[in-house]
Amino acid sequence: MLFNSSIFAVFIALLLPLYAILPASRPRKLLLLVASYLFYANWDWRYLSLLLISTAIDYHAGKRLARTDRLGARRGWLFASLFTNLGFLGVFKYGNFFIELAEPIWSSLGIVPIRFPGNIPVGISFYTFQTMSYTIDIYRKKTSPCGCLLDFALYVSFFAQLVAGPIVRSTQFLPQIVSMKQLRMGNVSSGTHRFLLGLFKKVAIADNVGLFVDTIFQAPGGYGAITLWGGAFAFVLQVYCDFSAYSDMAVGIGRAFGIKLPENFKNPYLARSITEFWQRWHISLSTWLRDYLFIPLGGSRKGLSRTYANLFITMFLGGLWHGAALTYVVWGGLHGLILMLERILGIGTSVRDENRGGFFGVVRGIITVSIHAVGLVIFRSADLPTAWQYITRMVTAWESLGGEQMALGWTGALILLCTGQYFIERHGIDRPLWIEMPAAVQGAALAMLLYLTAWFQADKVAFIYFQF
Amino acid sequence: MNKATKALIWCAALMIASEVGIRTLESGPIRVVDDAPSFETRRPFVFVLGTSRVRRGIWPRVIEKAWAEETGHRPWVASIWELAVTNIGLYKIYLDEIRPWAKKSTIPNGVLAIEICGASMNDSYMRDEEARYAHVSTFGKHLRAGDLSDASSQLLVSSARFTEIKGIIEDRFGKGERQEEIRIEDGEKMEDNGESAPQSGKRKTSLAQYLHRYSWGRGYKGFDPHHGTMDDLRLEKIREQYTGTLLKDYALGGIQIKYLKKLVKSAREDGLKVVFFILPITADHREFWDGDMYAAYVAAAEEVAAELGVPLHNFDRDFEISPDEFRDTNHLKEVGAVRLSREFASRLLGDGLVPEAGNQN
Repeated sequence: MLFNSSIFAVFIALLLPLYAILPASRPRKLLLLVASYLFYANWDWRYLSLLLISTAIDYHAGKRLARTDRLGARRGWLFASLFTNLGFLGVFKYGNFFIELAEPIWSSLGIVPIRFPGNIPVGISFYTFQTMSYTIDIYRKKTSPCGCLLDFALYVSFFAQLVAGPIVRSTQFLPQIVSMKQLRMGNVSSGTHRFLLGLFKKVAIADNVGLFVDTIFQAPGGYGAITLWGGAFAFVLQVYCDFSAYSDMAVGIGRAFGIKLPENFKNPYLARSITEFWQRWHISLSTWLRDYLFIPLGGSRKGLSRTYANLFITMFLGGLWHGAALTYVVWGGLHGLILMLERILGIGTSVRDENRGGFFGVVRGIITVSIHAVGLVIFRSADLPTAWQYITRMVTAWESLGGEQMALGWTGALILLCTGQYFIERHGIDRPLWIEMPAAVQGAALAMLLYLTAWFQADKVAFIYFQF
Repeated sequence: MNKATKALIWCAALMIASEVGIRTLESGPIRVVDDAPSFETRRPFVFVLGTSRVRRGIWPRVIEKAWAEETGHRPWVASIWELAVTNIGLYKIYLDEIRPWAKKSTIPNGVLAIEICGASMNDSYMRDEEARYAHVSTFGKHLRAGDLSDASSQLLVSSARFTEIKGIIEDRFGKGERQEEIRIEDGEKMEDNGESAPQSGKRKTSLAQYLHRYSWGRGYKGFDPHHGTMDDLRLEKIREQYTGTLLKDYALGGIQIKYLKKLVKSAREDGLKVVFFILPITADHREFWDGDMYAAYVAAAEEVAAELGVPLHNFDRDFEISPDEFRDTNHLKEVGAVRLSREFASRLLGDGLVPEAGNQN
């Protein structure tokens, strides 16, 4: 069930009044849980079983972890949780990938391996990371286990962020649902503002840019360098408008029910280095990788060479998290190398830096977005040879083979977005200027967004990050 | 009432007001003029239908550009290809993908360029028995499809340009209606040889499951199905299963010719002009085939073209191309594809199938 579909409109239109008439916290939670399971089952009801198993095991493991101080037992329960979640990921997401990587071995042994026949369960990477963080935090004694299975099940499966994040920590989510309050009109309205912004980004921008991006990436050999650069920049625009749109919608829906979900983006294309980029992009994943992978590996506490290695390993696995394909692995590895390089040269910037460096800051921003664009070529290409063909043609094929005007147009749109972010960061929806605007002006702006959304509506397309 | 809710009410009120305003304007003496006819309905459309060789060798945008350079007008060019390579498959693609809107008579300058299939990859004539059976068994289910709603539908691949052009047409003229349940006529159903043909509505085999085992460029003169060798037992089993009708039907003759003719007839009924072509292959690839089978295939193609009065362009014979321009034994690299596509554009113009420059609107 896509957020940008009529079935979701019916779903939410039924859910909100039902929620509003329920008299107490517990039935409200139960309703949200059932709704979340229905939401998920709408994709493929069979995979609901994975969600239920993951919920049951992690809930139980969390309780057992808290009940004992014996290191062996604690490790055992942590292992059970990690084994289940990583096992699901390994089998359902990466199984076929590893089987195909080992194809020469199977051939030489004369074995025909069995392949997992279905699609990858939607959102599996998101909810498994979420539940793993829960048991790891209890193991580390950073949090106590959830005392209510209903609360925990809702934490794992809350439909707003179930399939594409943000990856929410139990410490952020569970305290908010201990007592589910009545629906408040202010929350629903403000959540709707945010949802409409996401809808506009997804339907009016991302899906339309996607038509151009798909054309270019299907046959990069048929285009010249200008078009290919334009295609890469267009994908930069698309992937942001698609993924951040989902996060906007998720935050908006959460807010409607009084649940505050974490922000996943902080104007990533304002970054002046890849280091800063990862502080602004898919924040819930990058902080997850930092807390549960980079730091346990030793972080930056064990000398320079270990720090570099840890950075690389973290980004490499972060790439693999995105999908079972070599393109994602290479993309992650590339980001790992760049992070290492920035640390070695001392050129990494931070999102917290007040001084943005003036003109040179802008130049660095352009370079960062360009590096990101080249990385995304690998990310988006069907396979590595195609990515290589694309990238080599970006620097060698300067003949005109068509598509240049469209490419320049979308590049211009990206520049508009990047410059617009300076404004959006300070004055967009949820920012002070927006909040202080008269209601009529807000209403006119929202009406304009809706008109543009309807005007530019392309065919319904799934969110890019659903596949991860 | 809080401000966010007021804003939503304002939003709804403004939208209703503007909607009412537009409707009033539309129904009153001042009418909104529909500017849709600015779509270039007489701009030539060229659909190129064929095998994976079309995918690699015929580049729609290069043809468009070459044509525009020569005439000053740009056509729409799109390719669609299939991987099982039968004329039945091409006919199915035509019915499903092109006819729904070609039939609407909105494409006055339409051309259908068909790569003559059936024996164009002609695995049934391959010298190496293992390669022959492996390939035919890989695509067996699709080749033996008992009705067209199953035939080759998993194997259809269309170019991005096709999707784009289809979108433009559908925006302008609306979606075409697909024909349902198109069945091969009685008596034409292919032999089953023991394995049941796929049933309608049943989940179809995923092409991806086959393709990982199937690649060109390695092993026997460039052909190495299964990335290895087949054991004798498996070969024997496949041989038993596929010897006979299926191999015969896969060659360019009988049922394949019949469906090529049906395809031409349907296209002409829909107002499209038809042209045939044969794409170049390397000498190595020709050697895959038994004896003079390749010459027989070309002769059969020429005979059908003459009988139907369709121009036939044999790029394998009439277009000079070096082995360096191939990526394997029968698919072109970019350099070859660009050259061939330009030549393709020039030949189509030479056929005079579409209006000359300056006479398109």
